[in-house]
Amino acid sequence: MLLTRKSDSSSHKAAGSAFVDRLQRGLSQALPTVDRRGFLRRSGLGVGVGLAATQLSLVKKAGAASATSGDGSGKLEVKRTVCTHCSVGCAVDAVVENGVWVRQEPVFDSPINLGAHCAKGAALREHGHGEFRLRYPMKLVNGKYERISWETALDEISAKLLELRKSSGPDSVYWIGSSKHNNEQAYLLRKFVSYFGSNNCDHQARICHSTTVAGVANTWGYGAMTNSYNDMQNSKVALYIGSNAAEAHPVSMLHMLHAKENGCKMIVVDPRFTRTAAKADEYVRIRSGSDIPFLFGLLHIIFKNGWEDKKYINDRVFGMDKVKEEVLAKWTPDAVEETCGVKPDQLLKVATMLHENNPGTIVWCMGQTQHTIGNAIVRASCILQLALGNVGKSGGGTNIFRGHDNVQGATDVGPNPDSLPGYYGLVEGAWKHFAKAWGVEFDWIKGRFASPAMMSKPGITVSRWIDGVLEKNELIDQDSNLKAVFYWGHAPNSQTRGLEMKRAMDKLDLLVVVDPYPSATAAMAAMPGKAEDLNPNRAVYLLPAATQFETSGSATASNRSLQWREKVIEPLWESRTDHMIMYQLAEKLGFGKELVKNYKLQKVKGMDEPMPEDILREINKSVWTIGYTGQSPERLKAHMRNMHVFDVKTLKSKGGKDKETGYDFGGDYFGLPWPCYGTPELKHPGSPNLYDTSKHVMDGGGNFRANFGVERDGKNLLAEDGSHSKGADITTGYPELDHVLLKKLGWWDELTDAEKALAEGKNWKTDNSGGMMRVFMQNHGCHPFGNAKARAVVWNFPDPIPQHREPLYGTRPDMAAKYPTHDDKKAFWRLPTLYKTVQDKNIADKVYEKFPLILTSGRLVEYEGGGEETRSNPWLAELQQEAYVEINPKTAADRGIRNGERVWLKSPTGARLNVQALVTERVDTGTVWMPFHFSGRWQGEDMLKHYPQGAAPIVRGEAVNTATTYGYDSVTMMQETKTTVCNIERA
Amino acid sequence: MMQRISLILLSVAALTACGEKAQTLGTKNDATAFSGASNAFVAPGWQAGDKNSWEQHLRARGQYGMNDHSRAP
Amino acid sequence: MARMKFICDAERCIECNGCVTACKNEHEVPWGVNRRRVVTLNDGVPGEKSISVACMHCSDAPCMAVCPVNCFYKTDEGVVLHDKDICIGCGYCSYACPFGAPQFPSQGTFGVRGKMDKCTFCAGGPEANGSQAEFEKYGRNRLAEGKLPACAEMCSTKALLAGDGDVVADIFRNRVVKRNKGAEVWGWGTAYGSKQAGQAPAKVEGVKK
Repeated sequence: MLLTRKSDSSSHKAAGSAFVDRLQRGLSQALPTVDRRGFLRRSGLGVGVGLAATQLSLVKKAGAASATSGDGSGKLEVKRTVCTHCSVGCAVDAVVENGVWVRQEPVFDSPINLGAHCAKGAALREHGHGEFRLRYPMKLVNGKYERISWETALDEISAKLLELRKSSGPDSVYWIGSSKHNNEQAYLLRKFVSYFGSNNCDHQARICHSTTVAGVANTWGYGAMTNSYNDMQNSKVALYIGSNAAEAHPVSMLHMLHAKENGCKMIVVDPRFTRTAAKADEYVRIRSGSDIPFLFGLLHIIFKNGWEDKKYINDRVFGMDKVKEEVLAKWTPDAVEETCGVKPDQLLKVATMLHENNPGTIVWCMGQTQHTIGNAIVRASCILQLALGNVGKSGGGTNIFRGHDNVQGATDVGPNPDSLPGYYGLVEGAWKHFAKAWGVEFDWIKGRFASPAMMSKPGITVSRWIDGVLEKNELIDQDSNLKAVFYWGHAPNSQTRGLEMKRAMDKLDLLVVVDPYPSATAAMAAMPGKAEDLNPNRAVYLLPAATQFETSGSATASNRSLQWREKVIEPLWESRTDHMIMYQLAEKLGFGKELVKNYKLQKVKGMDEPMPEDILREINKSVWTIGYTGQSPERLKAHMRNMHVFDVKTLKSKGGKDKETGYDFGGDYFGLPWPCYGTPELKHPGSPNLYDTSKHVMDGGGNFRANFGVERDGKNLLAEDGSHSKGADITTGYPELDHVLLKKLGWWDELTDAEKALAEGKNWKTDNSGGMMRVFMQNHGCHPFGNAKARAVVWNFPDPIPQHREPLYGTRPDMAAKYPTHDDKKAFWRLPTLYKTVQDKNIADKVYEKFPLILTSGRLVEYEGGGEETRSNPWLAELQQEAYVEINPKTAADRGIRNGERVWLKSPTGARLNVQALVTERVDTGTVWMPFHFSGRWQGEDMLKHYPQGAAPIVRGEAVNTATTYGYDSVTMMQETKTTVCNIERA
Repeated sequence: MMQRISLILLSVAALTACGEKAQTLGTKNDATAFSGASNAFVAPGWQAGDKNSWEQHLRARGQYGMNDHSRAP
Repeated sequence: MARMKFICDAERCIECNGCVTACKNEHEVPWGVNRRRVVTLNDGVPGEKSISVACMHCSDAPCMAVCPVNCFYKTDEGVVLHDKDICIGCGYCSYACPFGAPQFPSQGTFGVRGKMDKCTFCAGGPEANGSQAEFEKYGRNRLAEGKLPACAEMCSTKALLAGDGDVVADIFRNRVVKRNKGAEVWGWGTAYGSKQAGQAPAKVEGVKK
């Protein structure tokens, strides 16, 4: 039946109505909940955002991007790069015409994302527009940001730094570095801060996966994702606990949903029914923070039924018997129901699913890490997987999804307060190792520090920098309070206690933001606070940094693969790359020459910039511990040019040679996932799945690390006889490799003379020839870090067997009485840190009555991190225009709140946030949820006037962290953001 | 009545696909997609102007780009 | 002959809006105009499903039927396009379309309508293929470049499929067979009373079969 336009209407009815009827009926069944008004509302009509984007003829705005017409008639170049948002690492082909980024194309060849992108990745080209970017250096003058020259900015900032260094010592400056720096920049920043004479540096990993790294590394060796997103295609069951992958790592769902179609079962455990839960075969709602009871409840059932992998535990795990004893006694299904809210039959169902489907993997993110007991929660997940024998297997493992695009790399080689690059730590041996790598005298570096003691003392963490400013001087474990802070590629609204952060910002002598965007720091600093807090000598500067599309360099994805980004465009406006800024600032501070000792300098816009390739080569020569030595720039670039040769399920190359260099891919895994041991000449293929004994060490195989001694309590800590990686000449457990062991084994003479000279007296981490490693691995199939058992009992942690403890701010005083928190700590990462005092006071003050709702926060797919970058992208900003809080219908009804109304969210800190209410059943009656990506509004006020003119994000909203509370992990000082309390009322 | 029938028959004859009424614009003519584009963005691997070549190319691209089961069985 | 189609696999769609921004990016679509958007049913409760919706390029397009100035046309591949130079912005197509595909930029309280804009299946419009004029009025012409629509090529989970109907149907069918579900949201249950959807064919009154 055709819908033809008829000139007369007489026959129209008979012809048209049946079709229309069918259409209407079909519609009402298919789309019951969305009407056209809903479409239009979502499209932003009627929301006055002040964007002049409406032209009646819909002709493209002239001049927006345009030095060029963008019609493909000019000189075209295709640059291959990688998305800079999350840690999946989706490759992108950026099409550039006459230096302008005009198109972006998907890279189907990439084995990691197969061309797929989420909203953020598909919107990357907007970085080439940069309309709302910070364009030039600026200084805060009388409450407004004024433009200054780079020369002035660098002169004034360095003068102030030198003055502070003299009067208050180098520890008075805090350097907040970035997980969005590439590996070369992150590594250079660690060197920079070391030369400044301090360990007071940190980055986003602290507030993201620091507890993971500590907990996992202390369990079996390395604190990283053991398998990969791709490898999840080989899983038969996947347990997501504390991960909203559909919004935080959308492209990872490509692999998961593919696996589901091949029979994998998906279980999602979350206080909230997330978009990830919508795809689950089984959804479990738990009370926020009760992960340990849940995991140990599963373990209880597993042990009770004898479902654990006994041989695996015997051969490869220490202390499981003690865990079993405790779990069987303590975590009965009733105890679990009481603490988590999970019913016994659902607990049994999940345990059965894990038992019946092998191999199984576990995924976690912030839901597990951001608690005072984060280090214990992640270990409970590790213990569960060890009991099931799932670690070290394809399709198994603990797949920890890291956050930012290079948080893994920044953690591995970047600005950590407690270690030099490569987790070498801060002991004298580590400093000497890097002094050699950096080409400077150890004594010179030593002299830069306030004292040798400060040189080996871990610095303050980014989660507590405010206390470094606000706390009483006699209680801080360093000479001076913090007087200056650099926010170098980091947002402020992702850290808790926003009210106090504002006070700390006001008290500083110097605040410098180095970022492509002004970031919320600029607005927070400029906005008036308490008069008595404002330091009259405070100087605030904004320095425009270039994005990762304006430089080249490598980044490490969550699965430990390194990908090399090509430079897409020259730095926009007056921005400069981070490594150029580091060099220029270092020159003014007097250590420029030392900083770039081993690097060639290239000219960018007429100025010197250290070559990223040379920085990576320096990393290759020094970071032996985690195998960052084999990933030379040449190998990485060859991989990026030939992504199609790598298999999607295994990441292994199918063979072939690179046309440009003749490089042979045989055996390589994509991106040479670390550890890629030995020199590039050794051609180690990288390790796709960690601890996998089914493979030879030269094929990426391994075993658990010998890092905790040879025996404990009379029990063997090394692996049992017969448990080793494939083809290893030593078939028992063995300690880590050093010159003594090599000699004892009679393999020393397999080294060349040149290698012997460098290896004498060294171990595998300090042998700069890489020769010992070569002999051990290639000639004898043994693993340089030894072959030992994983620890289910970590005796050096506050709770050797993970214990459930209630959060500092909670709604269940009865639970807090049963499972109280830790004792206070006097000097923890240089600061007094409270636990018991806070929890007890909250209960005594009946905080749970005034603030009876659990406040938790999380991610949205459209935005990333602090959000100023993504909220400045119109294509993304249009999709989420309001900060909001999710409230359960009953909770809302009790307060007279209707969907879409404005409400005040109040927290025990006294903060009040004005946000929109989204009434939904995603959250249960006792919990509310806010996305954390917003900033630019402060307790009801729009902060627009405090941003530099023309450089404010399009969408501004309340930052949930303005209202969040005190609480820190007992090992890493991770902030307790996933569970605090609040109340909500109609505005 | 006769007019209507002949009109319908004519329409049927003019159909290029079942159940669809062909419609062309008044004054302008839009070039076919397979005739290619006059810019440098064109993907390699097919012949502009050759309909079959274009169709085959798109089919292959569709399978490679959208069928993850063929990339990872 | 290639007949172009879209299908969005609701079992895979995670409402990531990648298709939405891919389209915005590729065609520089201004704020307020949404050629493609994601619709979520049962938001926040078990049974939540999302589907990406844009122009369906109907075989028997209502927009084309009601346009008073006849600015619509259909290409050999079945892509429904229109001529903005002829369009008078009356909005009839917008009322006729069951999917809300026609979009209008608007300004101010009374929503002054401009020329209609909608998904073109990345096939541009009645200007020279790949020309600046075509880009400015209609966006990119990926089909003429030997590519498929940006939204489907960039979909995060390959839920949204676009291209030759045979290829699209093949990929979708393969998935449905593997997982034994996913077609009911596209009406298989209504049409065939299939076991998948667990229901008998819907009784539709007054329609002669």
